[in-house]
Amino acid sequence: MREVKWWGDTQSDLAGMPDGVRRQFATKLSYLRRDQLISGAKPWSGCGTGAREYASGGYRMVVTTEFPGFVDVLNVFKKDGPGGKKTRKKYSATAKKHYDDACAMHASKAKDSLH
Amino acid sequence: MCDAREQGEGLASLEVVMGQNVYLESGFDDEDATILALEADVAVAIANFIRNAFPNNQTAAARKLRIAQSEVSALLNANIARFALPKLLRIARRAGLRMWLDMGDTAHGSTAVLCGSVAAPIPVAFGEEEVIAELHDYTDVKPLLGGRAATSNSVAKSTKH
Repeated sequence: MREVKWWGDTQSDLAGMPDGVRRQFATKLSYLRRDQLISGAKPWSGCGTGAREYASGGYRMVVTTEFPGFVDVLNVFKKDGPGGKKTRKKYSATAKKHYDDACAMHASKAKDSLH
Repeated sequence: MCDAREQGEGLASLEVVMGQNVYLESGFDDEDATILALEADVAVAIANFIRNAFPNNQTAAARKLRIAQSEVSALLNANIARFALPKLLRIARRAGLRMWLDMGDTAHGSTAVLCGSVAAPIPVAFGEEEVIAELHDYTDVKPLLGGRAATSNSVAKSTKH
């Protein structure tokens, strides 16, 4: 079973969301931990090949399963209204930063396991 | 067949593997996180059964499990808010799944583990081992595999990693 790794403030951000959203996103993570495919997820560009965006109402969660043994939560946010392209960029940048951190961490772990 | 209570060492490592409760980490209290984690575990087992026994045929899965096709779709897409634990257990029973549910001392230890007959010849994590359990139910659905399954359905196979 994979371990869920929360990057940045993603865990506290999710904890601050409504019950239904938290439940839905936590269930998605439960499925992903067990390598269960979830259809209907949108690919999230800029964070490798395994990043997906999950939606619950106006809320979004960006997750990657690219790294073996882990489900990395890259960003959790409330979507802005129409025309919020700038904010979208902000969310993309946060997800990208967390993805880069995840790459660095998993690379160093892989290096350590070789020694 | 895989009576978890008889496997003391397996249980210890099982707790380490299963120790993370994403509901607890998402801000739910211990009681809710326990129930929600059990529901998710059972739902994942059912979804796994559907994917393996009825690939691309939600209607047939719905017929076998005596639920609506939209509910099959919801289970596959991790939209399980409409399923309470008793309903999920009923569906698991109809699928022929045998599960062991443990609330643990806290929500961190709550888990539902597939045990005994499973729907498809897939390895199931059990402690440090991966177990390929009996294939009876799967061969009910896929009789053509009966011959192959006959060689391996008497005892659970396990491989250590």
